[in-house]
Amino acid sequence: MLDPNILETTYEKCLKCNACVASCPVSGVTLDFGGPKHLGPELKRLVDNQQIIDDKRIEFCTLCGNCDMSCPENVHVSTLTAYAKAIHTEKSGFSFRDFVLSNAELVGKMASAFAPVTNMAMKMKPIRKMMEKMMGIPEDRQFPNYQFKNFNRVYKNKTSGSKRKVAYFVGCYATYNAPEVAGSFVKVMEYNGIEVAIPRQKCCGIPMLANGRMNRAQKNASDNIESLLAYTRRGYDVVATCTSCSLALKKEYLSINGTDEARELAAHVYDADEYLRMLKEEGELNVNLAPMKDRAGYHAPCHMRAQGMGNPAMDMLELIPEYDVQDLGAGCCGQCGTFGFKKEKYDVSMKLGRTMAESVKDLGADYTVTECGMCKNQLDQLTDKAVKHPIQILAESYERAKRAI
Amino acid sequence: MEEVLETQVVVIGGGITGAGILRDLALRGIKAILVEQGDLGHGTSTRNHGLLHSGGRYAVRDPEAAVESYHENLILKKTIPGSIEKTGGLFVKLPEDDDDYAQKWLRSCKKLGIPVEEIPVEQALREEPYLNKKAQAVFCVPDGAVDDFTLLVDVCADAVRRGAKTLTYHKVTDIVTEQERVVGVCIRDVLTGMEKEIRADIVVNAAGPWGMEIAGMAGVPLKIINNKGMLVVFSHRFNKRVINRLRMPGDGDIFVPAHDVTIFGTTGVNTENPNDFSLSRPELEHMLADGKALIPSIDDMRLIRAYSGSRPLYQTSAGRGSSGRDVTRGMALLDHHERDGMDGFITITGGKLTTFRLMAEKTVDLVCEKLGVQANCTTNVETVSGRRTGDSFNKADIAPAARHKLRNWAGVQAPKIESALKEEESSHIVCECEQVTWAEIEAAMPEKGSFRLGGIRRRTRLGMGPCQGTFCNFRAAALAAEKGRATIEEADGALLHAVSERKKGMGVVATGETARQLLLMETIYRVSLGFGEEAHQNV
Amino acid sequence: MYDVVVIGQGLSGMLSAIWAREEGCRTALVTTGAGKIMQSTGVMDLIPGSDGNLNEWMGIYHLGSWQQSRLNDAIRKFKTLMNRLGYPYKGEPQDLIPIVTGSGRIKHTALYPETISPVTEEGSAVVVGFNELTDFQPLFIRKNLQKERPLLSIDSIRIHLGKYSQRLMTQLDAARLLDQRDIRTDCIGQIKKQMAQKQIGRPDLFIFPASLGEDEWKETVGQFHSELRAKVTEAPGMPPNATAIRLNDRLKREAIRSGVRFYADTTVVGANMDGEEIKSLRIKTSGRVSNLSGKQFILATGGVLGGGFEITPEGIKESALHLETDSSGVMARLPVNLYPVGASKGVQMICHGIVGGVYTLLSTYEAVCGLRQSVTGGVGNA
Ligand SMILES: Cc1cc2nc3c(=O)[nH]c(=O)nc-3n(C[C@H](O)[C@H](O)[C@H](O)COP(=O)(O)OP(=O)(O)OC[C@H]3O[C@@H](n4cnc5c(N)ncnc54)[C@H](O)[C@@H]3O)c2cc1C
Ligand SMILES: Cc1cc2nc3c(=O)[nH]c(=O)nc-3n(C[C@H](O)[C@H](O)[C@H](O)COP(=O)(O)OP(=O)(O)OC[C@H]3O[C@@H](n4cnc5c(N)ncnc54)[C@H](O)[C@@H]3O)c2cc1C
Ligand code: SF4
Ligand code: SF4
Repeated sequence: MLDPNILETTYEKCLKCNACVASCPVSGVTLDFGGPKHLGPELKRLVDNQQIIDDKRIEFCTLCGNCDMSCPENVHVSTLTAYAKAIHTEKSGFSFRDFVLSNAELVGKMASAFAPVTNMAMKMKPIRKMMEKMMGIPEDRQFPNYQFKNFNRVYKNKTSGSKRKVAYFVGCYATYNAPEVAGSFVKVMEYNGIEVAIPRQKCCGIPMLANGRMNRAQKNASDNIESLLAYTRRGYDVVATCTSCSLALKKEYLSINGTDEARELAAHVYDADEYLRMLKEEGELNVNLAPMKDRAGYHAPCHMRAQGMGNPAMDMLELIPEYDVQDLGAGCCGQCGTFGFKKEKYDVSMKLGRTMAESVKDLGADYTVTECGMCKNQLDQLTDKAVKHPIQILAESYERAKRAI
Repeated sequence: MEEVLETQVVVIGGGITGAGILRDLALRGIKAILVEQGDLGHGTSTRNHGLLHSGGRYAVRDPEAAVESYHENLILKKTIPGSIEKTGGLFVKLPEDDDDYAQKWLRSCKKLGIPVEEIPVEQALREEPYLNKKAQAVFCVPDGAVDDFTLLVDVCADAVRRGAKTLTYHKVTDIVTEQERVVGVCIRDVLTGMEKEIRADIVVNAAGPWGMEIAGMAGVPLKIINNKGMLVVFSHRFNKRVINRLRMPGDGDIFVPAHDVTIFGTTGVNTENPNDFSLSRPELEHMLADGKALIPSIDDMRLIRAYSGSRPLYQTSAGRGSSGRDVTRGMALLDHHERDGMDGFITITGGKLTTFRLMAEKTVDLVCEKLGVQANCTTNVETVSGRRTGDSFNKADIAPAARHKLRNWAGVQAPKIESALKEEESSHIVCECEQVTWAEIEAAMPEKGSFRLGGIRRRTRLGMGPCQGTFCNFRAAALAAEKGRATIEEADGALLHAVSERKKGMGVVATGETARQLLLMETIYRVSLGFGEEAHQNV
Repeated sequence: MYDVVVIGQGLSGMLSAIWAREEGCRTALVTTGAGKIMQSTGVMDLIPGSDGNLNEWMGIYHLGSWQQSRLNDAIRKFKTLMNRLGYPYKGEPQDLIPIVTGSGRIKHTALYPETISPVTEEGSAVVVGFNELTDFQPLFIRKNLQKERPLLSIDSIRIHLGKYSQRLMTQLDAARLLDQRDIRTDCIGQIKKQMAQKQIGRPDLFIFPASLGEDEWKETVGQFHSELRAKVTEAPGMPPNATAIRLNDRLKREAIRSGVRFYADTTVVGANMDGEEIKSLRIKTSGRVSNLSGKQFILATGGVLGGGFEITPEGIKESALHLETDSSGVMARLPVNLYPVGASKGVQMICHGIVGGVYTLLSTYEAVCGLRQSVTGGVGNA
């Protein structure tokens, strides 16, 4: 049940220092957005134990999490903006009170509440692209799809009994848009002799949060927690190739679900490169990587940076002999929120995009590497370079090494 | 003496008691002038807890006061709805609290007619998640939260609308007597130093903690002990309802939700000096230790400031003749003619915010008797215009939070503010924490007199949020100078004064985030804005 | 795993990390959030809030005369870096210059970006404010400045950026708008028109808020300068000042590009010790605690304001590593491979919870030198 008075108390630490506003990519390009400080801690304080205030401007927030990363006082700003989104969705859909009281009718009502929030997605092209695809998926349809199931069964037989076992959280993107990423991951694990299982899973919930569908996200969270815990309790590590998924499992579930189970699960979740880097540190990584003479630019997705784990993709890619990879340091692809924003903002967003595109070009890179599907979309639009997932590069390097033998 | 004013009644003291009297006088058609040395609410009336008592707190100890409170509670909710939030209140019994007291309390409330309803502890914990999980029993009472400042301002404005006059920033310096009779007061404009005299038939001393000084001016003996209480403000409102502890009233056992914050208190320490607003850290810690019983996580919550005020406690012993008319044990109405042989002089003191209307009624009854005026009190039915303005401000291009605030706050000023908001610059937010626009600030500025941030703060909530004016005090002062509403000296002076004043209230609670907030404020003024040592001169 | 682990992302943290990378160290930067540089003015003072000179500064911060040459090296190194990053700094600590602030007061500073010019005693100036920008009121500034500069002839005008926002517009927002050429051109037009109307002659100096462009500050300052045919300066005040954000953003980008690994939204909650040496840090990201190992550690957690120290009812505490401090926050015994820099050096160093930029530069430079000297496992072997 969505309670606007969630016991999220970090907001009271806010010093109004504006670091989050200065760091929010969306605030940077449009004055139509209320900004993280106001729509996060400030608004929360004004509604706590009082009447709800619905602010439509929250639609602009992309939940990129740059506000959280910049806040020196550790205010969970994007958790608060996610709640502001939920409030907005409910307010613009139907009476908030009814919503809270009639939990049982939630799903049915959700459907009708959904129309207004898609407006936001309509404004954000890449989200829309992704959402469109996701919208086509029936609410309760479960992962994985058949293709994976078959593969999984075959694969398991080959490597059962390995010391480490991985429960792969595939995520919507790799499932529906980029099965080659999932394929590469399984291959890389295979090169390291690690069993991969594909647990029953639902969308991690981040896109739902972004659309104010808090309840839906909470539902998915509890389903995923239940299903994944069945694996971790049998010694599996949960690994994701999508950095938004891993962020959800590690971080968001703690705030939107908040149970001990969520905490238990979070301790076992890894980003794919983070997992490989851990193997490396433990001396367990297969380092038989063939040289690759490519020159690549790496774009760090916000949801990767928000995990506070350094830069595992760069760490892994740097292990490939002769591979030349450079961090673009371009911040948030940010523009994901901006295309289709008001007309006068178009120039700004194009300019920001061009800066990133230029840094790709300046580098003379052959292609760009990034973990995130949304960032990839953005890069696809703004550059003519191919965009790959780091796990694909690693798989390729392993393949070449194998062929060389 | 330059100027002599004439009226029927002079009311000394722009606290809630004086304001209530002024309005009652106006309603009964008696001409009156209220004289206040500072801004309205300079004294205890803006330095209290803001609890609209249901009577529950006094049910065992002082049944008379309890009934009075409950009765007044009902009247105020009806007649001054704009300043009251009907939050309801809880009385919570903890394991360590005396069972007998709880039984006595229940019996007494029943007998006195104060409605009490027991609610399941689980329900209370769901609704007030910070409440101690060990609570044994929870009872609902009709407590409320009063905004003491809007109450005061609105009551005064209503009186003025009905023909009364107020003179703020005017200090009564002497009481003029002629043969055992008070005939007027001498006053000084504290801003210009100009002296005036007001001639009147009756002078009412409603100077609260300063009452003794005033009586002294008339040569009348009066003994008042000032009992200073400390209150602290949490950065946000963590309770929906007033939370009281079900035990014999003591220190640190009430949490009152007040708009966007929770106010917790209080203590009681006797002090001689009515101007003593000092704050003590040990007192604070002692109070917090008590409060923890009701709200265990109190130590993790951010305090943004502290303040103190004094309850004037009238001592019957010091009378010369008769002991005066005790209205109840808590409030004293003294007819100094009867008591001390000094005609034309009345003192009203003690009581509570909750019972101010009743105190005014009794006082004005006595005034009428003395003036020979036949008029009945009507403040129990006549309403003061409200604050909530429904669907106004629809067209204003401002943040929804700012609109929400105005709709619950603007009251009679709504049309003025609404039209000001048509201008783009007036709709700029100046205070973000409390969502105050420039239009509101302008509407809160006095027509004449100097620019002061304190008055604006009390009228708009400017700078009352967690940052305590770090940003908005500067903006408001600079804008006032910019727009010709203040001279540069006034703007700079007001700014420095506001900063040092906020610092005092923050200092005593300055640990953790509040210490950091205070440093941020200091650094911005001293380093970024280049005030340097100037920022310290005003302390 | 890392040669150097820096704690904190303020001026001192980012500079340490960049310089450590320049020394070839594998470097990580762990931080809860942004540093105070984001609220700062972007200028580097000697003694914040005071006009004291170099000697007084050296006294306050207990510096020895041998550190003078290090200070010069540190400043040179910083200036070289900022030149490369496209946001050059000017000035010398021996020679403080008077600049005007967002309240119209004069403050003296040591190092300042190229967007800032000193305010002269005489001559003429025009203060230009934007209607949309509440944090910078030109008439107010003019009147205060006049008190400090009685011989300067000052005018003020207000123009509009032409953009409205329901959110409070900051100097940074204005800077981002001025990054757009059409908005700049329109502003210049308004300034010229108003000056003509009010018969204000061409002044020696135009005073603007700290808003003259963010990414395109050079183009912005250049265009104002050439079309208004006078010097222009920014007057920093209420945060966020574009003067400071430019510095922050450039340092951050440089750190990332040079390969510093950022552990963002991550708080250091303790250290695993081996005798007098830190083996690894205990770091916490949203409830998960893990270890981060390194050879050398730089403590750049700031003062009370930055989060390095906490004022508790019991006194001042060092918050990241729980090092013992005396009642004023001076750390008693430092682990041998820990180097405090900037405001984290202890509250005795701190005026109002911060230290000035100049001290930050010096302490950071010395720490990175320190790394170089304690060679065992240090930079030399990296
Ligand atoms: C800590 C504390 C908590 C309280 N909590 C509550 C509560 O929750 N609920 C409740 O109902 N009551 C509460 N009270 C009681 C209530 O606040 C007071 O009873 C009430 O405010 C008294 O108002 P007053 O007008 O009599 O006095 P004041 O408000 O003090 O007014 C007296 C005024 O006289 C002015 N004055 C003095 N001398 C001169 C002079 N020479 N010339 C001109 N003006 C002068 C002063 O400036 C002052 O403004 C509390 C009191 C305290 C101290
Ligand atoms: C409003 C303002 C105005 C200023 N104006 C000026 C000026 O005009 N001139 C001038 O010279 N200086 C000015 N300063 C001061 C200057 O910015 C700082 O003193 C200087 O940057 C020193 O910063 P620092 O790097 O040592 O620490 P800070 O900038 O305070 O950085 C501390 C960093 O440590 C991180 N941190 C803290 N604890 C932990 C932990 N446990 N784990 C992980 N990370 C942690 C914080 O998130 C932060 O990133 C100003 C400062 C402020 C606040
Ligand atoms: S999540 Fe991203 S878009 Fe949303 S407020 Fe935070 S920084 Fe801005
Ligand atoms: S960065 Fe944190 S403390 Fe600063 S304004 Fe944003 S939420 Fe508040």
